Amino acid sequence: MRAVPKDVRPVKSDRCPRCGTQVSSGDVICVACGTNLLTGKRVTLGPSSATGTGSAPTAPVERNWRRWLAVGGIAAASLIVVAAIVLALYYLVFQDFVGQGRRQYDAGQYAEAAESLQKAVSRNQKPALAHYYLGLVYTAQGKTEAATGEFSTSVELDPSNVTARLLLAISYALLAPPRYANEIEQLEAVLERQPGNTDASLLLGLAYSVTGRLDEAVSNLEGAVANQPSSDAAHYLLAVTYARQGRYEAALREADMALSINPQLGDAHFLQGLSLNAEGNLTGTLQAMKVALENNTQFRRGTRYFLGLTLLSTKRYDDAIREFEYANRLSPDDHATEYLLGIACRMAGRLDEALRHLNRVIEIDRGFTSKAHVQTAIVYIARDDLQQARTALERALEIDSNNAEAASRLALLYDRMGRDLDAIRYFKIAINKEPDNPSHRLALGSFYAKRNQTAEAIRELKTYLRRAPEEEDVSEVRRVLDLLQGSMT
Amino acid sequence: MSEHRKLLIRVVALFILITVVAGSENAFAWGEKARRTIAWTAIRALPVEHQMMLRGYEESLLEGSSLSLEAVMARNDGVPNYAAGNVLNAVENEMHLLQSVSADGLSQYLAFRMGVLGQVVAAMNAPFSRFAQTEVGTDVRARYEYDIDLTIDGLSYRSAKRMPIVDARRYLGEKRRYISDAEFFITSDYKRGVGFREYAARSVNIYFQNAVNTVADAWYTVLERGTLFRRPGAFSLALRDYYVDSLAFYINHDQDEIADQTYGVLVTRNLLSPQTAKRIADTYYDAGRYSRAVGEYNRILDQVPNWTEIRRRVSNYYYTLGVALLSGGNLEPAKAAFEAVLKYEPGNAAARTELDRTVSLIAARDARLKELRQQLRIANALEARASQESASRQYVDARKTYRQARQVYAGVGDEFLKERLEATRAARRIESQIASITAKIGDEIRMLGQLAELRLSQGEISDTSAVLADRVLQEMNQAAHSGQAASVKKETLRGGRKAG
Repeated sequence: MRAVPKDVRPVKSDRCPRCGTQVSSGDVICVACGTNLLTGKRVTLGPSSATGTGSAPTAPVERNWRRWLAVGGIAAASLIVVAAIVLALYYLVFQDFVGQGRRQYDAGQYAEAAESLQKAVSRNQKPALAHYYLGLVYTAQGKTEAATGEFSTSVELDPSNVTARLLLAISYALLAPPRYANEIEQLEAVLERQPGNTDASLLLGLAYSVTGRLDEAVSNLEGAVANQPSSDAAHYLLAVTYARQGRYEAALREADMALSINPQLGDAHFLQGLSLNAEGNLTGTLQAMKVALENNTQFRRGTRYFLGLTLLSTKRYDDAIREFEYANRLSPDDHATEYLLGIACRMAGRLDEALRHLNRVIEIDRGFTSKAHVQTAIVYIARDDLQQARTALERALEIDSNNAEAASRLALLYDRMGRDLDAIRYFKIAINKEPDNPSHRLALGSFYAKRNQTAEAIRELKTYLRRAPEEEDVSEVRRVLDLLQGSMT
Repeated sequence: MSEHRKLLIRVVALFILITVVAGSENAFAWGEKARRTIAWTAIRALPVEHQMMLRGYEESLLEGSSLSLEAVMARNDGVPNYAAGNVLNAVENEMHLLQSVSADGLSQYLAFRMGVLGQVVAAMNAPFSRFAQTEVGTDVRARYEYDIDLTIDGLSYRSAKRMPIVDARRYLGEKRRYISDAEFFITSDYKRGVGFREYAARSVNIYFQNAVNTVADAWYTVLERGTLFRRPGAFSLALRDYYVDSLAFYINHDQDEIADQTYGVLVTRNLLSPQTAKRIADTYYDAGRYSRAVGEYNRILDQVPNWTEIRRRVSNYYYTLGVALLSGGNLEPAKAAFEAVLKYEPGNAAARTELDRTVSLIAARDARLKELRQQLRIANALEARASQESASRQYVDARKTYRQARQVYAGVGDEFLKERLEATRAARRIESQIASITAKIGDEIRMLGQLAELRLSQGEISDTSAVLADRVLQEMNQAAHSGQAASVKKETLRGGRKAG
């Protein structure tokens, strides 16, 4: 807008009197028709004086149409430019990338959908939704980590989106490694908004269970089971958590419920076998484990473990070894299987094989190494190689100074070697490490009884009976105790 | 040499001689060694068939030959009484007797009697024989016999043809013709201090030769039979005595079977008069065969019931036996013995007293026995109870009960052998049971050690089970969690668009 001369009063109306174009207050000339808004006359353009103050020369007539042509061309070009600019602005500012991306996602065009949604994000178009859908696209693409980020942003932008929270929690759960704390946080938030969300409840229960918060897990899972009593999965998941709590009876009940809904649930059969084993029902264990295998439990190796352990307990050593060998074929580098094979072969009297398996456990050097040394020592004792046995037991204690069994067995070995002081020392170490394990008391009592230290023997055996009143051997121990007490009178 | 010195030598010589004589009581003209040598040589001087007959009887023959002079002279129950009357008659009768008996075949006793006969006839042909009837000092005889035994190994015998003796008196008389001269020369030599070196040494081989021949001829005559001139005499009595003596010989040689056969011969030949039977019974008695002797005495008493001597002897025997049995605590046999005494001697007051004492001892003993048996029953019951306690593994109680039973058994004394043996066996059995129980207690204690190891081993399985269960449950938990997450994701994705 040009400046208005002092003697010119600007137009008071907001429209041009000639062409009606809207003008701003204070304008002097209508830019549309060139009308002087003060005079109401149209402005004519002539050649300017050298000073710029004289009147413009009047052009000939033929020049005018050329001028009009040029002006028209310029105006047209300007119009085109303006239109293009307007179109570009519209495209850039007002196109719906979110909707586009959503359509592409629905059509399974995940790459295109991702591009559209990223544009939407970059243009800040419906950002919460854009991030949510982008999370879905990434999830569909298996990009869990990226999806986690998108869902997380979506939830930040729109905390009320429960589905986004649920998916965020699931993404945390599916990360490698899973981020259980974040998962739990999101699931708790979901349940805060939707207390009846069974999926969230189940997942939260499992997340609690996985993180060892078993009581909270059970509480959630029980809620889930109450909401979905006909869900075999809910019963099964609750059973697993009960088993983890050591509540095998409850676990059995829930596993039974799951199996009454779905008898082909192999994993529930396995869990049933596991619980029966823990309760000492060996026959039931064997049956349940076999049914689990028939119903294709996914825990085939575990099933073989427990079949083998149950057979071992019933002294069917060769059958046990066969089961452990099955387990070994399923997972050739599993040190637990090697360890079990070592024990089974030792018990079966196949000492060379036992040593081979146990030495492999020691070579693998994970978890069972100290125990494997103890087993090796037992093999050496069976071969009357007491020095090697002693070395193995000492090694077991070096690796795991809390291995009370190693200490107890070392004490028994020293007892056999006639090294009484060493025997007593290691018995006491074993008792210190496991004060609640009555086996060490029994072993020490036996040691004293053999040495005719009757009073000490009586003391240890009484302690044993106090600590293990339910054991099968109580009557035998009590009889020996009576013998010792009788011999003192 | 001065007179004093000669006197001293004589005194010393006399002292030595007295010592030697004192040590040679068996002297019988020939010393003991000489007598055995003569007997052996005489056996070899017999014809071969006679030597064959004597095979197996040499020991008995030599036993007779070795019999001491005193035994030969003193006995009148096993050999003829050579000391009484004319020795030549005795020899002749003996030869007759032996010749007669030999018809039944040789026996050990016949060989023994031949040995005695040989010894007598050998002695009769030697200087200084008791039968020489010469007046010589015993000192010279003893020194001579001693010297002969020293030289006997150097003597030789020249074989001669055997001559059966027909007239024993004449035969022996001729053989002894020059004995008195020889004794004179020998005595002179010893008195002169020459001793055995001169006449005795020169003549000893002749006397030895003579003795062997005489003995061999005597035995030859006995074994040949039928050549001897037989004089009248009480031959049946001699024969009876021979068998009785033979029986005694066999009894003393512990050959009861042959003695019984000889007894049978006496019965068969009707030679067993009560007197003879008494002799036989006495022989048994003297030989310590009391039961047999008493049997024989009873048999005699059946025939002669009032033979007081026999009754007293038997009753004495039973009394002695009763006292011995009583002192040995054998009350019932002692009682029976005393009763037997009273059977043979009803008025024997000592036996009556002992019998009464024995009866009261028996009564007291029976009372003790009854009490002891009651104790044994208690001990048996204790033992049975201990056995039951042991069977039910109440070892301490069983050991206590066994010890109680053992204490009872240990209280059983030696008085009652059967019960003592029972108690000893039971005590041994109980010791074994106590040892067994002690071993069982040891086993129980060892079992405790095994139990401890078993518990540790069971712990291995249960620990491993627990570890694996925990591991598997975690796996299950994780699998369930991820499975559920995937499932919910799927569901949610399906409904996710709506949410958008």
